[in-house]
Amino acid sequence: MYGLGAGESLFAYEGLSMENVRRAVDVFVDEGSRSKVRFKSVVCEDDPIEALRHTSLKLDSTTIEIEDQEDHFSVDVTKVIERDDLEDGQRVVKSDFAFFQIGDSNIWTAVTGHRPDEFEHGPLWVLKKSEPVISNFFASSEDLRTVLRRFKDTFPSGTEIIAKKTVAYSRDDEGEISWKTRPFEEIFQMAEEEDNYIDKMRFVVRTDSDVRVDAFLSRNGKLKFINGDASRFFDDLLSIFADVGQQKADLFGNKERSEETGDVNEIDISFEKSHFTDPPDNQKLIKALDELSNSNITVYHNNPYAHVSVFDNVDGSSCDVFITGPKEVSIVPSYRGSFNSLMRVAEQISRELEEGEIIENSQEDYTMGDFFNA
Amino acid sequence: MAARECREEQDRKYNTYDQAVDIVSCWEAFLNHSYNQVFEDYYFDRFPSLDADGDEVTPDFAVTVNDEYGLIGEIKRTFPEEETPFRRTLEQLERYDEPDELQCSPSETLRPNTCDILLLISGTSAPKIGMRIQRLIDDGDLDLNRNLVVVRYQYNTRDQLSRYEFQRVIPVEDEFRDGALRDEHALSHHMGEEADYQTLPLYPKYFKREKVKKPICNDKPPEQYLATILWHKIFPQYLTSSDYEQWQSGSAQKTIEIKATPTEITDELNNYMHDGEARVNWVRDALHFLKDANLAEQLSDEFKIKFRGFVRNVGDSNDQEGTAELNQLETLGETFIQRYCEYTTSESEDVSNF
Repeated sequence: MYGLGAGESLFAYEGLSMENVRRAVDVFVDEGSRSKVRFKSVVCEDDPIEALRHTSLKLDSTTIEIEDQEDHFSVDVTKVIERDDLEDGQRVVKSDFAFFQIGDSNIWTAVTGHRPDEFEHGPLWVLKKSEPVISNFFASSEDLRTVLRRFKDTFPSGTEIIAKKTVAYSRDDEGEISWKTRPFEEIFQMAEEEDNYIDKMRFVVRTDSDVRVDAFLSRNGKLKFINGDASRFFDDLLSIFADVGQQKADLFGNKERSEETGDVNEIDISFEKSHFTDPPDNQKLIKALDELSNSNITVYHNNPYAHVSVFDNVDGSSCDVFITGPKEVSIVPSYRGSFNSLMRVAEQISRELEEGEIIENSQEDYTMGDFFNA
Repeated sequence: MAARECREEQDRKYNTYDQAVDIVSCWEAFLNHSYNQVFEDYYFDRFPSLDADGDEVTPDFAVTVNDEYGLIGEIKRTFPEEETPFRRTLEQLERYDEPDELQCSPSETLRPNTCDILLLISGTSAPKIGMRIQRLIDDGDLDLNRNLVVVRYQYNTRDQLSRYEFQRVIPVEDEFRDGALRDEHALSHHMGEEADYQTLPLYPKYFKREKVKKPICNDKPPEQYLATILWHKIFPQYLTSSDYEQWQSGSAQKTIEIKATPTEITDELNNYMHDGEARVNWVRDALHFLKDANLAEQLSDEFKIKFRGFVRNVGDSNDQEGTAELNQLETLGETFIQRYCEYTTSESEDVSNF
């Protein structure tokens, strides 16, 4: 069950609960260095179980079986991949995972001990296919730093977190940069100074010479527990990471234009650097939005300011994106403007330009005189 | 016309119209902020259709400030050089002398005691045009009872924050006659002689909401412009969630047929704008444009729109048919114009890749 090897025996004797999943994870990672437990956290704006059941009906090549286990759901996935280059023209990937809600948040997490292939064709596949009800969220470099700081604070003083391997990206040439072992704060500092964004990081939490947790986290919500105290991972790290997801859910969720009044909401991104000082700079944003997957754009204005409409093929969401200043971009969702779509647009801008500060813009009132003094 | 010339002409119309939408949105945002919380009867009519002695006139916007003051707004980007056509262009404004009833809500009208005509002209040759307008007024060739307040607009990119700027055109002496309003609410007080003809700056951050809410203005939009709005904002409303699922599970270029009449689509567009008043013939012409671009068919009064995503990059599993063909940055508006020009001009080029 859930690919947890020897740990699964617990389920037979003591029942299938999240507490026993956690204990089974402890047993499993002790089996050997290749035993890693994989997690994927997602935002669910609506009932994710209903969404998975719907996905099961619409996917010809995949069977999804869901069982309520009271404090979580077990999800069994069988995917048939058909390709000419495969022996017999197809292969079947079977996997299962536990799927549970973090507290009463909008964040749900899938956990499995299966290998990368099963992880990709199991939970990642069915969660992706359940968009937009189930949606990715993206943690910025600053979010990841905050997660690690808060996680560190749950341990006694003298505890340190060492980044064992980090993958970051530069924006100039989209190059991948790897950093070896360093205290995590140094890594984030280096990334900031060199205008890189952190994509993923393997880290260990050490108190004195004891390894408390050996784990991995990434901006797209994939986490791994590699060794150490599983309770720490489940109870502390996952909850802290879920807070990031919930912040995104609060920021990007329910921002559609009002059907009743026609009023619009706005999400503003403020950058540290001046990206748009001349009209040709607008192309940076236009190009970034053009490269967003599963979408198309139209440009209403690109000189001197930019106004781009983005249509998202995933669910028909659309939004208008404006450059409102050298350091400012504003996103205005339409009547259909799902969390999934707005998160995707904001992440694309963050990755291609800069991880700016993202805030909801509440419209201010101005008098006639204010305009002349602006 | 060759395909290239066709594209240039279509691009020019597209950009010119967008600027007109910007200018109207600027004034709507500026006056909404200035008056919404102050005057109960304030109303910015973005799609005015006014009665002028039994005739209908359609200025670019009309504003009821209160029962004392109103404005009828018109945007003119270019003026003819020759005197007679120039005078005729101005004479058209005489029609705006007549309407005395302006909307003060979507369903009610009001007759402000004083109403002026606000003429917004492009900045490049505004002083010269202003001189010529004042000469017509002085010579009695422009017969207006209302004041004709001329304001020029231009886009300022010199400073860090680029913005539209509006300033009274001084050669034309007519002033806003809004003396019944308190100074703090009076345009004359802020833009007129007593303010040394102060410039009104309008940044995109102020007018973007108005532009998103109502992406067209009271002039007929170029077909290609309206087509992009229909494609992004209106046609998706006809799709079901299973249509989107088909896109996710099959080809990103899969065509989904939408059948609707121009009237039905116009209603949807006007609902989208909340009290929008787009005309059916605008939408019908945009549908004909899509038909010419081989993206729609006409079935009696109904049109069949061949809706598709025009997606280049489908993400993680980039194995869907058709995506590799769209391999360079091409926006929806450009795609439409390109298709239209290729299909309708004599120098047809290969369009099989679209």
